Amino acid sequence: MRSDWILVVLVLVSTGCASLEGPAFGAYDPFEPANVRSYAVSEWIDGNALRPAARGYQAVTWGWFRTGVGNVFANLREVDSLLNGFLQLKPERGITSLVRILVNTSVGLGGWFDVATPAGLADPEEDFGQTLAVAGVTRTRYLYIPVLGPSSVRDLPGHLFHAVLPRLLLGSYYPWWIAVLDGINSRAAALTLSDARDTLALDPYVFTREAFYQRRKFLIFDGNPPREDPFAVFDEFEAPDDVD
Amino acid sequence: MKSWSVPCLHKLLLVAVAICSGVSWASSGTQEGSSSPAADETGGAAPAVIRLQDALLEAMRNHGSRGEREVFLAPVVTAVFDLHNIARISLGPTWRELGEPGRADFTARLGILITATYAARFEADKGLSFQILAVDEAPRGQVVRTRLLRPPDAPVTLDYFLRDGRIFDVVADGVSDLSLRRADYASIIQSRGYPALLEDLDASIVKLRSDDEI
Repeated sequence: MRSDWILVVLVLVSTGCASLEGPAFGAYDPFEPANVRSYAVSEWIDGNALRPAARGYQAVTWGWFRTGVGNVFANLREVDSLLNGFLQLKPERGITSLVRILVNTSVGLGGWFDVATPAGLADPEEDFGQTLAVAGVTRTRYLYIPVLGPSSVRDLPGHLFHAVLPRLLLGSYYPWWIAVLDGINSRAAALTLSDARDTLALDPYVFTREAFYQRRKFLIFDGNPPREDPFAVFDEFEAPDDVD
Repeated sequence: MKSWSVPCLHKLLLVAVAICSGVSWASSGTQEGSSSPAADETGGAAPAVIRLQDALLEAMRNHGSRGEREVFLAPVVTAVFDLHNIARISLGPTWRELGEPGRADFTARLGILITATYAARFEADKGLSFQILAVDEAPRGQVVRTRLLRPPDAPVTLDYFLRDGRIFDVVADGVSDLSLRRADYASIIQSRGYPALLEDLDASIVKLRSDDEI
C-alpha cells in the first residue's frame, strides 16, 4: 500500500518529460511507428483474450449487475475528479464530484446506483492530465499503451493513477480478482462501441488517435473548447472550380 | 487511457461512434415530439436537423427491416447532408485529382455509407431524445446546438454545422465527424491509395448491411 503511493508520486512527478512540441491541444504522434506496433499488440490481446472474456462475462451476467459494478468502480474513481477539480482551482467542479461521491455512496448504496447523474449532477470528468493542461502543458506526444489504450506523455501518469485508484483507496480490499472483475466489466461495457468503431473506422488507429485528442481538448475546456472557424475548411480549395 | 475502464475509453468510443453515425449514439432513438422543441425559435436553420431526427424516428417506428429503413432514409440523407462538400473536404487534395465522374462516384458512395449507417443503427427505440438548445448564426452558415438525452446517463452534446441549410459536420462532445473522416481517409490514401479507400468504404457498407447489430 505504501509502495503503491510511492509509485504514484514518482509517476506523477515524471511528467516533466511532457513535450513542448507539436500543436497546442492537437494530435502529435512522433512515436507513430512504435504506437502502431503497440496498437497491433493491444488489438491482438484484445481479440484473443479480453474481448472473448468480456463477451463471456456479458453472456452470464445481467445488465443491471454490470451497470452496478461499473458504477461502484466509477464512484471510487471519481476521487480523481474531486482532487483535480480543486487542483485546477475550479472548486465548483471539485464540490460537484464530492457531492456525487457522497450521494452515490449513501443513497446509491455504496455507488451501486448512480443517482447523481439523473439528478442533474454530471460527472465533471477531471483528471491529472487535464490539470497539467490547464497549468500550461498544452502540447503532448501521443502514446498508445498496450491494453490501456490511447494516451499521451502528459496524460499517462494521470491515466495510470486513475486506473489504480481503487487499489489505492481500498488496499487489500481490492484483491486481484476484484481487479479482474473491474477490467472485464469495463471491457464488456465498451463491446458494442468498439465493434461499431471497427466497422465505421477505416483506419481504427488514426480514428482513435484523432478522437482522443479532440475529446481531451473538450474535457480540458470543460465542454466549451475554443474552436477554429468551422467554415474555414471551405477556404482551402483555392481553384475557382472547387468553390461551391 | 484508463484501460477499458468506464468512463474514459468507453466515453471516447461513445462520442466517436456517435459522430460517425452523423447525429447520435448507436441504436439510439428519439421519442415522439422530442425532435423540435425549439423549432419555432430556430427560424430557417434547424429544418435539416429536425427533418433528420424526425426521419430517424419514422424509420424506427414504421420500417422494420434494415433494407426498408435504408430505402426510406436515402432521400433524407441526400437532402439534409451537404454530401458534395463533405466528400471534397474529406478527400482533401485527392478531390482535385479526381474528374467529375470520380467525384460523383465518391459522393454517392459517401451518401450510401451514411444512409447504411443510420439504417443499421436506428433499429430500436431506447428511450432517447434530442433537445435543440440554440441556433447560432455565423457569417457563412449556422450552428445548431443540440443535446442527446439518454437517461439515466449524462447527455451528449451534438452540434450541427450547416452551410446553405445543409449539414456538413456534426461535433459530438468535442469530436468532429468531418475531422475524423478526413484523417481516416487521408491515412488510407497515403498508405494504400485511393482505390483502397473505395474498397474499404464498400466493405464497410457491406458489413453494415449484414451485421445483426452494430
